[in-house]
Amino acid sequence: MLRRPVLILPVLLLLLIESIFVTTCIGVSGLSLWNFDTAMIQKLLFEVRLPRVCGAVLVGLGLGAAGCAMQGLFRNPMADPYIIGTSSGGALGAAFAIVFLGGLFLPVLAFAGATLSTVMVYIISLRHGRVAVETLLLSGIAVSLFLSALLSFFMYISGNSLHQIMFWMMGGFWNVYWDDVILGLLIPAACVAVFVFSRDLNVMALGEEEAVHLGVNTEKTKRILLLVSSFITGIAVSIAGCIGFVGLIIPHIMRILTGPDHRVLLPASMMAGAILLMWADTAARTLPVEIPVGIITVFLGAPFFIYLLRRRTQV
Amino acid sequence: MTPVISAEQLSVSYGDHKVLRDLSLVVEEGRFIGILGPNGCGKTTFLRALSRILAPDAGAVLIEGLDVAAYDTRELARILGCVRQETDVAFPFTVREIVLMGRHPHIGRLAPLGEADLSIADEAMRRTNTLHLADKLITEVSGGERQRVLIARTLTQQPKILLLDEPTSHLDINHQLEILSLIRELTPKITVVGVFHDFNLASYFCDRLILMSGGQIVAAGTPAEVLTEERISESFSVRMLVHMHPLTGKPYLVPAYDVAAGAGGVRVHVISGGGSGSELYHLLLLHGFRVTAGVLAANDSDAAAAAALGIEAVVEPPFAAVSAAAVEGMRGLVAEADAVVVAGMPVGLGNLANLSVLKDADVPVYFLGRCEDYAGGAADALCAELAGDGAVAVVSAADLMRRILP
Repeated sequence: MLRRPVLILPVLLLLLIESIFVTTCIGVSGLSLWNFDTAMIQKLLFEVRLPRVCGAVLVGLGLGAAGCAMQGLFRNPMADPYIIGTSSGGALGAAFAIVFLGGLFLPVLAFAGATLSTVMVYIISLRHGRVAVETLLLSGIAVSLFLSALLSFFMYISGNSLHQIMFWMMGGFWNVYWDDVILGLLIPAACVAVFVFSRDLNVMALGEEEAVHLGVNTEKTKRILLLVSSFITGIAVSIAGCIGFVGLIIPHIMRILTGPDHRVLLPASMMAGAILLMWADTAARTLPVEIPVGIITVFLGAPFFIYLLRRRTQV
Repeated sequence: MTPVISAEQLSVSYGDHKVLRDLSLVVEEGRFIGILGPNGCGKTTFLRALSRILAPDAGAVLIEGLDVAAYDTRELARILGCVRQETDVAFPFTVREIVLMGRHPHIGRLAPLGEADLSIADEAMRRTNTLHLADKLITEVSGGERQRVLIARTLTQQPKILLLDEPTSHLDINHQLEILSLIRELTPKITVVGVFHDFNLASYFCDRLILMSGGQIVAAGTPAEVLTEERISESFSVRMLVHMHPLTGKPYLVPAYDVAAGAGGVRVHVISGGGSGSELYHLLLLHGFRVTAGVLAANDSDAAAAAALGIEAVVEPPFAAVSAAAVEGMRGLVAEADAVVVAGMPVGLGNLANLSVLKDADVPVYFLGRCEDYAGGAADALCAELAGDGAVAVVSAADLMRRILP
């Protein structure tokens, strides 16, 4: 077992800081740290590239944290931030904005779609004041399918804006500006709220009844964590669309490296999510044709995931 | 004094299915209470209602005099701990991490674990013999080890009340005894309520037993009061023999393994002594033979077995020579028998008549095992004579069955 919880966090922090500098300096314009004296280059750096990098960092932090919380909550390493309808709700909101409002209020509608669908899934699963995670999972699938049908309809009638919807659904940071970054600052704040529950998440790995016996108010914990996670994911989706696999694969890999203790796993997943997205976005914008970053994350993530599954049946 | 746990007219249901009906119970502090009952009688449901996992439809559970529903979750967890039959751990925590989770209700949300917490966990691991596993992953230890780890976790929780839901039923007998001894040592400082499947473990370890059936308590009291043949057969529809354990003075139970008395058909008479017949009686009855026996001495365990199995037998007082009347009785049974089996026994002058009767009997005779001669050669001579008349020596009970089964 290569668990090095004590080492991993500082190493990730160093990598994170270094990556912020390095990725900011990589781009099609061939800019480097040593010659940003002219006003034009400064403008490019501070108004185009830096907000984009910051957006990737914040969304990565959020997807890492939300993925971690969902996997802990569902006691299932296959859970991800979108599991309870967040992505399809967000996509539907965004498609609505693109088709009917010409892209106006897109982030707001994406956020509203993502969080509303989660709330809807939660309410559907509610029985006598309690929510069973199994029910949550199944209603998540049902609601996602329903919203996807609506989304398909919007895409069918979207005409010329189909490309825009597709691009948005795959996710990317090509139109992230400082106002998005300011909105994104809510993500780390919400992550702190998740962190407060990290020990409860640990105990919940023993099962909900056991967790109750150990003093965890499981219903309250589930409610708060679902709400906070969908808030984080909603903001992430409104900034960068539905970037896949980060929230699934990052906590998964980090659990192998740090062990399942959420007090370490959560910050590790956040930083690793940020690092991965920064580099994936760098690849997305330096390739000959700008492609959605979600394609890159899935393209790299899926084979790696298969490798992990084959290597160890139980993670 | 306030009872530590009291259930007052508790009714619990799953949907429309009523599992507990009007159940009331008062548990005094420091007791080790065992709950017994057939599957589906509501034992586990009762425990889950005690620990607030299930909310009652009617009635209430009071813990230390307060309604359990009024407790804060953390506060309740400091009073009440629970070990379940099986716990599925979702992620590969180390054993020490799992054990330290027992401190969860005692420490603040973001507070680090203190020296005291660590030493409480170490002590719990030492007592459950799991300290050597501390750095292993919970997913790597065996089922028995895992259960001991979970017990260590619950000890680390330092509850005043411990609820057990058959926590040792998957363990080997040595670990069952170890763990239950350990738990009994915790009383009377803490109160233990446990669900048991095994009558004998419950009888030995608990000072009070509760027998449940159909969602209600049908008996409560000391093991000797609760574990009676009638009560067990009413609740479990099986006859158990209740004995006194020779070393503990507690009742212990073994199944009677009842067989229906042979329904007629083929009759077999068994001549045995010194306990050589009991196993054969049971086997013959299982195969549907009608069995008769004798002549037996009244103090022979074969006589007791024959009586318990409802076998017609000719019995003589102990140490007496077989009387003429008994010989006549036996001659009658042999005459009606379709076969006679002599199960190897010591033959002395007293029971020599058992063999000599066979000389003029007109039935197939089988010898299962050798008869030891304590009659100065007379027994050996008789056996040889019978063999000469066509008596067959069989090598085993299975061999015998092959020959006499129709």
